Amino acid sequence: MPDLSVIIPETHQNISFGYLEVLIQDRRQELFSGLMRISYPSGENLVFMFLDGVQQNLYRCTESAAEIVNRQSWLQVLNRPGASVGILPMSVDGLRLVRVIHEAPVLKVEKSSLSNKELAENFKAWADSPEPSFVHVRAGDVHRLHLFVGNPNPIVEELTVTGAQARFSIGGTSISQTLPMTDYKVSRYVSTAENDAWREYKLRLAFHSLMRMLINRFGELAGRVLAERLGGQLTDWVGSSGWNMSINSNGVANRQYFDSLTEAVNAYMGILRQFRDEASPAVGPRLVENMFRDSLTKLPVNFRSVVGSYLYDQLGLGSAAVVTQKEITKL
Amino acid sequence: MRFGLDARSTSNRLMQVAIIAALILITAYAVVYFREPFSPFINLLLADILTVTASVISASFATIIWRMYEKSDAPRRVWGFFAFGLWLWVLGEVSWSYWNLTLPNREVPVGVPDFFWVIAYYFLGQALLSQYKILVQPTQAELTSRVTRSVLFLAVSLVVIFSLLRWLGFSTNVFDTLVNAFYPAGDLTLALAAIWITRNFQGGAMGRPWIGLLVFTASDLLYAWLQLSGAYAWSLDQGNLVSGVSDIIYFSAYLVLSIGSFSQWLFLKYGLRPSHRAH
Repeated sequence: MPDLSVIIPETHQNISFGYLEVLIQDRRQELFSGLMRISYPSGENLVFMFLDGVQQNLYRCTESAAEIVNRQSWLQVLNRPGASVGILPMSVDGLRLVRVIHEAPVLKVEKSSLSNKELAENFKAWADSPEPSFVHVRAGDVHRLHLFVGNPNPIVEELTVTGAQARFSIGGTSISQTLPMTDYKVSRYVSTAENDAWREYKLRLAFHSLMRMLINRFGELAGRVLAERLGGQLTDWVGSSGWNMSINSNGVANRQYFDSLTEAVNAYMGILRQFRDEASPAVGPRLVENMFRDSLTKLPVNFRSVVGSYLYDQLGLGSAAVVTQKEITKL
Repeated sequence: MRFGLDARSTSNRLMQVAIIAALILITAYAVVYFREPFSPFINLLLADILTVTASVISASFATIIWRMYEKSDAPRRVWGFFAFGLWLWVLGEVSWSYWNLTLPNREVPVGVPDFFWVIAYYFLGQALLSQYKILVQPTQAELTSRVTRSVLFLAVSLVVIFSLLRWLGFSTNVFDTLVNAFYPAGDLTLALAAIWITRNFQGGAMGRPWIGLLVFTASDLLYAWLQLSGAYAWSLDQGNLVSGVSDIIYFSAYLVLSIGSFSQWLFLKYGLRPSHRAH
């Protein structure tokens, strides 16, 4: 994509590199989380991603694509005069969404101007589409970004940017029919699932659903008190491993920003292993294995495949295809 | 932390204490049964008191576990039925002991104790059925099929055992034979269900109470067989080795059931180390 810099309102114009360094230093000190847009007179747009004051990534954005700037090249890329800077704070949820938009490849761009009714109709069609995509909806100075992981889309994450405020929310597969009556400038970016940014994104959503099912099923077998205790145990373990997540019967409150798919896989694998180790003494290894299989089959198809290939295979539970073929009700 | 020990050590220690206490009770029962250290009536009274005590312990633990679960917890339903069934067994033991001590020939006829024992099977069956529903989450059709097969198995077993007993001529009274035939049939049905559940829990703490029921079922079968064959000794002074072993296994079965339930209680209280945040 998409040049996301348009959603970040400009706060400083024509500043020197020295002043840019001061602005970056300030963000570090205030443990800023969000985006910093740096534009140059040449038309080049750069977007810095900060999480808790730490610079995670620097993206070079053009109209049709964004690329990650190598960390060693940051100084060289930024050391120029005449930069204009914009700052947009946002939560880790918003940053993860922006990251997918920046890092997922774009195969096709569809631009249109739609009424509120047409937008609602199109929204359903996008949600039904098997390809992952992201949609930028603009009305006046309000920008909305929607991420579609590919049909089925049980969760559609949204980021709404108004002025200098970004608000992250989770929506369903339909958009409100009561949108203001105005013309919406819509850009839809069709992507491909064969990309680590999407894989990590899908794995996070899938893992949340998986853990919710596992903890709830454990609660059905052993009672709510033990289920809560198990969630507490897992949260303690996750915390001691340095990950910012908590686990309870509602699933995973995941505030972790993983650097890579591999890091995310390792974390989720560790949690599932820990779950298995803690739950087995209570209900026995056989039931725990059945819980894993049962939960997998209840996941949406696109989540099932990513959980199967990245987590279950390594846990020794067999591939998703094999697992789903097994008759889980025969205990 | 309990007594300066961590939860796991406390749990292990309490389990050891429970096992030692159970062994002491079994030894005491065996001594009373075989050594007969007191007068015949006192020996019988002690043996009956020990049996009633063991049944009260098992029912009490089941009740404590039932109370530990929250109202919305599915296992609470299992333990509610289980505890109620065990309390009916307690009533059976108490009434049986009363007649055993007060009747001149010590021989307790089929009657009130059997009413409690037989009714208890319904509640124990409901407990197993509830556990099955939690484990498998069956559809209505699967559930109906499973219940129908179990009832059919019970009915066929009852008919077969009843016919066998009538053929062997152990008892001339049809009702007595029917009641006596019900115990092995009901035990077999419960045993199969308990084996199935225990197998699925595969060593998990939640499956331990069902191991107790399994042992109880085996001992009850032996007891029923001795009773029906006429080999059962109604008082200790008429006792024989087989009858003694049967009574000791029967008594021990209550304690095994209690230990299974106690193990579940320990797990609910100390299992899955409490999270650090909870301190």
